[in-house]
Amino acid sequence: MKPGFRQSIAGLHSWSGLILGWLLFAIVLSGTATVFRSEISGWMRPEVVKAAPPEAAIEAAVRWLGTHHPKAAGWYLTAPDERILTTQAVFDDAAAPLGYRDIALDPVSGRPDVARSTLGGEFLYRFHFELQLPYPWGRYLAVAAAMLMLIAIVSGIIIHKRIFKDIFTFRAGKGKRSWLDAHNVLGVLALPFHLMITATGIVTLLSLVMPWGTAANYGADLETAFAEAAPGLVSREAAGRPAPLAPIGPMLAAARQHFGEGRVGRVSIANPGDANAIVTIGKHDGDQLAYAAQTVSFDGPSGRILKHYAETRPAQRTSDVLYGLHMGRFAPEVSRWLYFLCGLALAATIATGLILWIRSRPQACGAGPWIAARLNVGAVAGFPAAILAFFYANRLLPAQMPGRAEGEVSAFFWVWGAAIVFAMLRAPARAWREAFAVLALAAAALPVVSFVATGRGLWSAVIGGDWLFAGFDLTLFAFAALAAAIARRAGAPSAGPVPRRGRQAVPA
Amino acid sequence: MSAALVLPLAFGGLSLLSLSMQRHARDAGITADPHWPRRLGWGGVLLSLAVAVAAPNWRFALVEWTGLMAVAAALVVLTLYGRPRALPKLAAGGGLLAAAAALLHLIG
Amino acid sequence: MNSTRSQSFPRVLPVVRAIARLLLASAGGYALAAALAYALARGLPMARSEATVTASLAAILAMPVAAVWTYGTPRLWQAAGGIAGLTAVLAAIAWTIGQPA
Repeated sequence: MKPGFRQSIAGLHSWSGLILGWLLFAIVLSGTATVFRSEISGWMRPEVVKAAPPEAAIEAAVRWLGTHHPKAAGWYLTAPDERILTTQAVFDDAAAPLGYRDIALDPVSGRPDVARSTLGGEFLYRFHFELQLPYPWGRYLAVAAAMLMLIAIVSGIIIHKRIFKDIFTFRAGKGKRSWLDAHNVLGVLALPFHLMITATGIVTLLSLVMPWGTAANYGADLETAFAEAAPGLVSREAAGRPAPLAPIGPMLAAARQHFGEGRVGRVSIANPGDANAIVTIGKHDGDQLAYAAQTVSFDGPSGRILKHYAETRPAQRTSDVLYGLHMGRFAPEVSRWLYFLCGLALAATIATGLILWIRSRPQACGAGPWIAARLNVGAVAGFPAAILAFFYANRLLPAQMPGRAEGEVSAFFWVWGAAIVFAMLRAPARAWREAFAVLALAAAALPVVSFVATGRGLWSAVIGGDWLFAGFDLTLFAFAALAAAIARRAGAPSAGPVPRRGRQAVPA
Repeated sequence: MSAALVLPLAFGGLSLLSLSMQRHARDAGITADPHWPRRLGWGGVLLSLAVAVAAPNWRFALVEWTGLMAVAAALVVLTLYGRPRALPKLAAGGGLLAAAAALLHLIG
Repeated sequence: MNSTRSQSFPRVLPVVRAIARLLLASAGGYALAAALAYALARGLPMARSEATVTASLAAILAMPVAAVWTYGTPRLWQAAGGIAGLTAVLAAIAWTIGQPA
């Protein structure tokens, strides 16, 4: 490879990493937290303690929805499992601020008000790809960021001259060289994960980013395109005549027979209460890599099976597996933690990359580097702080407060914004230290605050085998220790001058 | 459950691969002929893969193995950074035990 | 990129070139990926829905390749010509095949 070529690609690497780097950090970190979406939701609803079998929970949810939201165009339910007690319900509601509701229903009573009002882990999940922006702009921005990250990863591989020779190399205390080593090690060791999660992230938004294949074959006839892409889904217009929904229990039992070993996962009911209602029951996502692999559809009023479909077409199945790999809903415990750790590594790769960009310009002046150096602190420390604020608000806002769930989200954005403003006002070296010290304290104190507020704490959790609470608290302590270590090191004068070997391409 | 076996095997294998590189061998205080660590190292990595995909659901296991390799490699880097001289012993001890257990596991 | 000729120009020129290359990699790369999706979706010998999925997945990979190629080609006009030419060829293939009935 010619040196000029490498330098050009290094330019591509830093451009693609920098343009949306701060946003990418937030996307990656919220996605990493979303690995534990179920557990976060459970932690944020400490009032729900009684479990029910998934079939009974779905029946309870359908009963409650039938009484309170019979006019919705559809109910989309996710059954509880060994990771979460509540049934998640999404349905359209003109009275809701966004036009739809996304709520958790108690598995026993089917009611949404057993627990405090919160979005739980669903907030972080939605933020990960919608960025709290109106549809579809958040998704467009997220997929653009993902594409830039894919370009950054590919160009990063190309410019890494000694990708195998330096694979285990980390040299501390050498200024920019150490940052480059850290960036490389974090990026290379989990490279298969980084490539997978980035590419499959684009796949989850495929129809949005790449609608041209569909346009080529179907023109504007999206209905046919959708029907051919998902032949398992039966769709029909509402008849306009009311008809009661048949009991859902026997339908769940019939679906389970089709699934064999598999469990019931998602249940959607289109036009409930109408003569043309359709109940679609999908296999649990934890039973195979592929997302939405198998469904059974029923005629709502009679409970008769309309269609059983398991995806077998190679290309569509590949796409479903890629989708499932991104969602990680299949992942058993160990894999879930591996997703989490690799996600953290990716976030750290982005953070070290952003820092490297500044470190490569020690003499740079002007507005760009000035803002970038401060945005680094604001983004890297601010986003975890925002997540912690979300958790704190969950424990501290009064249970009966009106607009409580929105209040938690406001706390998240206020703290994120405040962290960025704080970073703008301080010298970066000091800001790193102070922000991470605050983060460490906040993370370490949260288990205590949570114990005082709920009476469920680490000690009783370990004694009682309450692994959700014990795991949550231990993770917070681990995070506090990490933040404290960063605070202690950040801003420390790096030893020695930067060695200029000119052997390795440096993002320029 | 195979993670408890795959991780030490992968760690042992990757440690040996790192020790087959001159820079890391020097840091660890050994001057071995690089051929054997390299071959044994690849052997350990391949054995960890074999143990992983021998699980009932090899698709899930393959994803898990990829993640465990990243963790094992990170542990090697951390050991080389903090306690480089302990690496040969850790690699030999952990790797041998895991290899013996793995062979029993695969046969059994 | 750093030919002696470009250095004798005023300082604005490198910025213009950098922006042009960035636009070529992003907008040009996307156009190329879209044309590839169009051509493959129509040209692949598979069921219509399967060809559509395969084409869309392949198009995702085309973008990083196009970006690397854009940056790896020393002369901007060469890179632009390559992207535009390939996009045109793919679009022509898609147009020739036409939308399946």
